[in-house]
Amino acid sequence: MNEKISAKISTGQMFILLILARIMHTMVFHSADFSVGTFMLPTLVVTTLIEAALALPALILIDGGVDIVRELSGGYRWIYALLRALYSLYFIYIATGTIKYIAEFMHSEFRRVISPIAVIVILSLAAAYCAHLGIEALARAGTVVFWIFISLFVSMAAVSEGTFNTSNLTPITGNDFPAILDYAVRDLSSSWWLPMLVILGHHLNDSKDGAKKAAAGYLGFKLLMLEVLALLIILVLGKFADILGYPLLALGAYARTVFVQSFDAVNMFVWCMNAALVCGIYLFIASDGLKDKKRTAGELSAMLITAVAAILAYDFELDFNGEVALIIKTAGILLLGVLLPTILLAERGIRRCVNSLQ
Amino acid sequence: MNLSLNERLSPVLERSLARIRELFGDSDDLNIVRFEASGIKCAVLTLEGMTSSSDLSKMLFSPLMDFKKLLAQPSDIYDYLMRKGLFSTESKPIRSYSDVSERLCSGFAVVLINGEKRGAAIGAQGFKTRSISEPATKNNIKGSMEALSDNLKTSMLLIRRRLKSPLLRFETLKAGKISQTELAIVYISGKAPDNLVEEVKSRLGEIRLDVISGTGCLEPFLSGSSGSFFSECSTTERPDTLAAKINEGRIAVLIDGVPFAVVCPALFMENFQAVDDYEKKPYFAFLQRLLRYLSFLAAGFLPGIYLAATIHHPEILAKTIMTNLITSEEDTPFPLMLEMVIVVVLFEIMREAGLRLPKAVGGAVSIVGGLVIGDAAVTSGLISSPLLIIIGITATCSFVLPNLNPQLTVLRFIGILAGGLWGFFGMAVFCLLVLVNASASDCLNVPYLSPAAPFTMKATRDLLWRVGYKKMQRRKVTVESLNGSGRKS
Repeated sequence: MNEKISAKISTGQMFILLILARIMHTMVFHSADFSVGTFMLPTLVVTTLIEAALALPALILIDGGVDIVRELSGGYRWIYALLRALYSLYFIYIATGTIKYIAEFMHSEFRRVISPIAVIVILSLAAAYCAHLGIEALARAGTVVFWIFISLFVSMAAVSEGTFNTSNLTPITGNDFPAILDYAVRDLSSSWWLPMLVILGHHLNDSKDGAKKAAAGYLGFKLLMLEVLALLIILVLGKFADILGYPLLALGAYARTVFVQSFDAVNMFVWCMNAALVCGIYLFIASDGLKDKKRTAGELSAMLITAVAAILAYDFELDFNGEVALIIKTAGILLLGVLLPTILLAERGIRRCVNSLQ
Repeated sequence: MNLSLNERLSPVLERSLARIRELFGDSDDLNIVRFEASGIKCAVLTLEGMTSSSDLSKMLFSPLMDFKKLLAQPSDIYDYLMRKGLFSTESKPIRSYSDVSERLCSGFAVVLINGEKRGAAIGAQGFKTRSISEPATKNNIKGSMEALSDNLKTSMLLIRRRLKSPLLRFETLKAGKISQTELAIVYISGKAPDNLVEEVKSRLGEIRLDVISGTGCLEPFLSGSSGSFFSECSTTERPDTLAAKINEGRIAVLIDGVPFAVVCPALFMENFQAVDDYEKKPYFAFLQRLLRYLSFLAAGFLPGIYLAATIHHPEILAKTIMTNLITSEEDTPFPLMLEMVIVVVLFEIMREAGLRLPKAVGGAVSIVGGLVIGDAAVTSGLISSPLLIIIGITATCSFVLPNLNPQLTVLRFIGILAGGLWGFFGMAVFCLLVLVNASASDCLNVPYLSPAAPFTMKATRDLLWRVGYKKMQRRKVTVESLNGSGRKS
């Protein structure tokens, strides 16, 4: 609560924030929209390599101690405001999608518990409060939530009654090509960790290699986590996963103990904790671009826009996994996470060349 | 009152005495003894009960009556009191009426001399205080059985006895516009960062309260942050705990008249440490701490989780447990959530009654409460047995962590509402908000959740597992070295 604390986070905390955002996406966004199969395993390796390549310009700049948005604006306040507004809008869009999908998840799996509108309102308020407390609080809480996730995975795996069926590991054929392409596009369109890193980069306390380490850790962990989860889904659920709304939830249904008959609600508990935290991070990023003089005004605006947008998206059944959504998400990543840093890097490179020639 | 406190003393004794009487409003506890020394009129002023009469008679009156000098001047008596004579270890010059008031209220005897603009204050404090007693909170089996005293000097002595080092520092100052309460900042030079010591002094200097009645008056000023759910300063009445904490680079503030010290910065994890942990084998200390952490979770969240599971997520529970719950709930007239609220409210009322009443009656209240809630309510079918078991577990667990009791009580009530209304979704959001709030808390720029979040590897020696003393002496940890403290992250 102390405003005097410098808003700095460690490389490990940055890695955890990025991973939690990705876990949130994997849990809720990936419902029954695409088919599941062995083709996912090599595709993930390729998309991870592409992500690593795309991240290079941003990483070079952040580790050079550059505030990318500020540098790009070249001292013009209106350009800076415009760029920050773009980032804000993008993360409000992502937060809206996340909250809408959580509301949908609650409605489809826990219909009796709470109404979707109440989920949206409560999550928006919680996220706004988290954003208000700042990036350090979010990062510290994120560490705890991350370990709760790990404990949940380990404990569910320890008490799981699911059996592996190796015959589900079907060989990859030419017929899988459209599914591979679809999965690759979906995976790449979920890489909003790049614009996240661009905005949060200057909060890193290790301005030398912090961003590179966080990105390397993120990509490695993401690849390992998704490969393991995909393998588990394929081996335990097989083609059955194609018709399930939430394959990871179904995977948890195999776990049971003497006291706990079903882990669905336990899963939901941890997912919702993560949802509020991750939406808090998105709103923190968004509020910075919407603030005028007071940060609270930016937080309130971001929260209100997100809540209203999520209610409308839920009401009008907007698809955040459809073609238009994929275009928006991918364009956002390419523009805000790749193109803008590349332009700045190129401009700095050209300037350096000119200076050396002079 | 037509009197300025900063006004200088008058050389005319009677005028000064009249002014002082006016200042104290002719208060009955102001004693003025007039006498003559070498033919010069003098007066000794004391406040009733604040000084020791026998000490005054031996230390002051006898030597002054024996003081003989031919053609003595008022300044001779003053010099005798302040420089030549040996009356007390503490003697201070008095120049203004505010000096008179301050010294009298601190238990000094003030000597005024006719014809002299200055007076002398002689330390002769002799007020009665409680003797050093056993700690009333945080009891232990082994280790020291002494608690801090109401008397500031005694408390300082208790700490000095445990840290016989010239590096131990006491810096006294006054707070409270009317009470002028004496405070002592305690720290070890070289261990407590200088900027933190200065920060504490500056924050204490900002206090504009009329009266400092206890540790609660200082905590908001020392923690410096608002909106934190947990207390970012801890209190202790144990001099051994205090010595250990200031050895870690912390700063303590002692208050005259209060047998508790405020220690800052405080860490959340310290609530789970006890004096006996350091007297037992590390593996046993680990087990005890694990139980304390579990007690915290049970005391704060178990009622909410129980309601969430039984009302909204019955599928989570095993069939036999679920059947038992349904059977016992069938006969009760109230909805489960209302039943829980009633029992928790009754429990809190009885706890409060047990605390405030004299010990003998408090025991009786517990028995009556136990019978009424425990037996009669179940027999009459008003409350189900499983719910009572949950509350029993919750109540017992809350007694394990007395320092966190206020927070646990509030957590329990909010948990009941969140779990009862919105199931595990409500509990998840509620738990996250508590976690983020605790993560945002800090005192003197040291994160409250340190060394867990942000994580500091070398400080985990005393987190859940307590390493042995041989290893502990090799790994010196101070609050300044924790990740996230100050400008480090």
